[in-house]
Parts: sequence; C-alpha cells; structure tokens
Amino acid sequence: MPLIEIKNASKGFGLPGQRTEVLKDINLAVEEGEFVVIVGYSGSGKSTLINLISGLVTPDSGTASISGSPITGPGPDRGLVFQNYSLLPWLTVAENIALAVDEVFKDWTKEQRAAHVAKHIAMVKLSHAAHKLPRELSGGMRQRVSVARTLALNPKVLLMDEPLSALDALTRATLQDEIADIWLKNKTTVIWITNDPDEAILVADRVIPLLPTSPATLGESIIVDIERPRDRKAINHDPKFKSLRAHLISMLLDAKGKNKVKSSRKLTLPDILPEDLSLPNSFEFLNRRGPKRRNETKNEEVEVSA
Amino acid sequence: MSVTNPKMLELDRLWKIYDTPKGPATIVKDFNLKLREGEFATLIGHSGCGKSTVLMMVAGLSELSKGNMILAGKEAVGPGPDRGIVFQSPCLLPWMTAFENVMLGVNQVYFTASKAERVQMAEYYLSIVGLGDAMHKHPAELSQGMRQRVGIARAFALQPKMLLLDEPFGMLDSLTRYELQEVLLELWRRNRITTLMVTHDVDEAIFLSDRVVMMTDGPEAEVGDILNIPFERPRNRKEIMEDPRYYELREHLITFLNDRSHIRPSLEPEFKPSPDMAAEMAAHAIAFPTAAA
Repeated sequence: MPLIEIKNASKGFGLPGQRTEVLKDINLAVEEGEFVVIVGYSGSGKSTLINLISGLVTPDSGTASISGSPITGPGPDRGLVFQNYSLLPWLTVAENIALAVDEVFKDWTKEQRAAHVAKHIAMVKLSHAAHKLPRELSGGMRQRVSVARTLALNPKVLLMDEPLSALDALTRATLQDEIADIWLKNKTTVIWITNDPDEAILVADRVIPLLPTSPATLGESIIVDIERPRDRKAINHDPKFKSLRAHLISMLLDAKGKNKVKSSRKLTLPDILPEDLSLPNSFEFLNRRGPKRRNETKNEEVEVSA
Repeated sequence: MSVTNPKMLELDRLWKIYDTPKGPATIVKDFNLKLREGEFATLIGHSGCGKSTVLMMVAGLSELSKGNMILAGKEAVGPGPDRGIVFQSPCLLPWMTAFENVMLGVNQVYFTASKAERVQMAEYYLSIVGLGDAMHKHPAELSQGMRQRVGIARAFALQPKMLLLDEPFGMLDSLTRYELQEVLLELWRRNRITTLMVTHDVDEAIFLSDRVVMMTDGPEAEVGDILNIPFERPRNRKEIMEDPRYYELREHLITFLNDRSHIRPSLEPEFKPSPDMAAEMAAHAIAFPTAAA
C-alpha cells in the first residue's frame, strides 16, 4: 500500500458562477521512502496540490489518504516546509524547534526532548547558531531551521512547498545537496514542489510534471535512475541527466504551448524612425514634415497570435 | 537593407576604477570587445565580477575611467534613447498603465510622428510580447513575468541602436524564464537590434546569443574567454537541447565558471586563448606572449 495516495481528486475555488477549477483528476501514489518532486509553473496549482496532502485543503471530489486512512486535517505525521520559513521571530533557533518537539512528544522527558532538538540542529549544521534569533540568520540558515523543525517531528512524510525558491543560486545549491544528504541518511518520504526542472532531477527519485492545463493535471512520472550521492558538477556530463532534463523541459513547454488560446489580430507597424537629437545636425527635423521613415516599406500589416 | 556595420559597438581598453578610502579599486580592467551590427552577445560571470559595471558603462550610466566606447562610429557619452535598457526589475511607473509606460518613451523619440502612429507603435510591441489584452492594466495588476514583458516592449519600441539587458530574467522562475526568452527571441527575429546581455545562466546564454563573453572573477575583471554559438536561427529550444553541440558548449561554459574564472589572461604568461577569443583579441591588436613566441 502506498504511503500517500490521492485518487481522482479535484479542487476549485470561488463561488458558483465565478469559480476557478485549479486541479482535476489528480492521481498520485507515493511509496514509503520515496523522494518525489512535482514540477510546475507558478500559479498552476502546485501549492494546492501539496495542501491536499497536508490537509490544509480538502478535495472537492476524490480522496486523499495517508497509510490508507483519509486525510481530514493537518497533523504531525506530515511535516510541512514553507517557502517563507515561518519561524517565530521572538524565539531562538532552539526554541523554535523545541516548540514543535514539546508539543508532539509530550510523553518524553525534558532531557530526551532537548537532546532531540540538539540532534536536529546539528543535522542542519547550525549548532553554532542555536541561540540566535531568526533575524540574525541569513535566508539559507532560516530555511535550515525550518527543515530541522519539520524533521524533528519524525513525520512520515516531509512536504516541501518550494523550499528554496526565495534563496540565491549558490545557497540553493548548497541546501539541495544538504537535504539530499539528510534524505540519504534517514530516508523519510519526501514530496517536494518546485518550479526548477534542474533542481527536480538533481534531488528526486521520481519527477512528476504538473501540466498547466486549466485545470491542471499531473503528467507522466519520470524516473530518475541516477546514482546517489549525485555530484552537481559531474551530473552535467551524464547522458542520462541530459536526456531526462530535455524530456522534462519539453514536456512542460509543450503543455504550456497547447494550452495557449490561439487568437490572432491584425496590427500595424508604422514606418517611423526615432529622432536622434544627439547628432550635430539634430535640428534637421525642422526642415521636414513628419517623422523620419525607412522609405522602403509602407506601414506594415502584421498578424500576431497571442 | 543597409550593409551591416562590422563595428556597431567598440569597447576599447575599458577600465573602471573607483576611489575608495583605501586607495583606487579597479573593478574592470582592460576590457575589449567589438560587436557587429545585429549581433547578440552575452556577458557571463560570477556575481560581483563586474559584468553589470561593463553594461552600465555601455549604457552611459557609469563613467569610463579609461578607454573608449564607440557606438555606430560615434563616441557615446552619457545615456540616451539610442541604447534601450531592460533591467532585472522592470522599473515601470506604478501609476501608469502598461500602455502609458511604453508611450512615455515612444512620445519622446517619435515626437515628429502623428499621435496615431505613436499609438500603433506601442500597441504593436505590447501585442507581440503577449500583452494584447492586458496593455491597459497597471503594473500592480500584472505578474512579475508580465511586467518584464512590458519592460522588453518598451525597450524595443524605441528602435534603439543597441539593446542592453541586465539579467532581464533573473527574478523569474525557470519556466517563466523560458517563456520570456522566447518572447525576446521573437521580437529580436523581427528587428535584429545589436544586443549585449548580462546573465549568469549558462543555458540562457547559449539559447539566446551568437557569442558568449566570459568574464574573470572580480576585482580587476577582464575577458577570460569567448565562445561562438553556432546554432542557426530561428532557434528551437527542443532541437537545441537535443543537439550534441549544446552539451559541449554548456560544458565549456560551466567548466569556465567552475574552474577557470580565476585565471586572468593578462597575468598568465602561458595563457592560450581559445580560437574564438584569439580572433577577438587579434581584432584589438592584443598580442599574447605565447602567440609572439
């Protein structure tokens, strides 16, 4: 039995008459220990999809279940990492994590909980900053705290909603590697959402494109059978990586192209040239009527499809 | 069609030196580049290496400390409408619609044309970038990608001699970035304005340009290598990604950025320029010690 299963789910928002259907016919099965990445355009419904799993959103039709039982609301068995870190600004790194740990592991002793917090801070390499406040940390460090907090709940599945999108390219690369390393060690099931195809292939076992049809549907899974740990430099030379990347990108681009409403309109490109006032004879326009023209073409009629 | 100018832009021994309390700091050192008319060239390098400084000098927004810059046979001083710029953030006036933002520049440079012609000009470019239905919206109602489309339309509508793009897609996610690259190429196919773009995205550089100029790490950045991109136009992303040459070119650029960007040709007696770079250096009459020996 798959750990997470979504069957024929659809979801829309808004009142009848002005409703937007966001997701349709979503079928997803994620096995325990799997690292799945869902790639899609901004605004295509990626976050709605992950919220179906986290329980923050319930499907209009169809079902979402974890270990066979239906998902009715959020719970500590599904850890969620947001793009904007969501740390409490008045608590230190350790306190932020302890807040979650104390809530979930009420039956543990104080020492056990403290050790658990310290272990997860060390896992994301922040032991030196355990007593700092979020505002004293960089974006990358804050996201590490958020990952540590989520992992400390020992969730069955880690849900990451564009976890690295707000970070610069270098920090992003470092964190991709670190998260992949952590996953290799503890094999928690991961569902990761991103809009970056390279990121997807680099970290995932399986990449699923969310196709931007309206409403959006999941495309065919792409299995990434590249050995771990993956070296981001070496992977560029890997023919498997190249072909997977080309396949994924063209799948997403094709879906976008098909979805475009083809309408064309006639436009006129007027035959006028800019006036250049920096030339020595700048005021020659005083001696002519109207603008400078190319003289070769008349106004051009152009069909534009948009 | 007029004969294409082989030297649309000439950057000859450009230097940028800032005075600091600790003495002068050289940001860009001895930067040489010639662009022919209708060429699309890209500057690539690590953050902070000085690529944007070079672009801002070409734009006239930053003074040259030393060296010459000749645009279409004439020394270019200060900014002007002959050089259209697209910045990383679109820099639109928030109280004006997309259409009004484009008209602002159009009214300036086509002041001898009729109102109807100016309106046609703005409508034409806004439609080509895909804003035919949204051109009367304000920037706040547009997505980041759509705002950047307005910025691109605004630059092209002025028919500048040169187009300067400063990481125009840097703030967009990768899939939106692909879309906008297509929009840019579509406009460029219709009007091949000589273009200099700054980016740190290797794939973007290969897909868009005729020539990629790699800059060494700053400070004292200089041209580290040059690579010609042989793909024919119009380009199709899918075909290019399936072309084995694509991965060779990508490899070349990635290797440069990862392993070779610290090597400064002017300080290396043993430096062997790549064929593409050697051709450019010969055009500037710059001899390498090895070439002379």
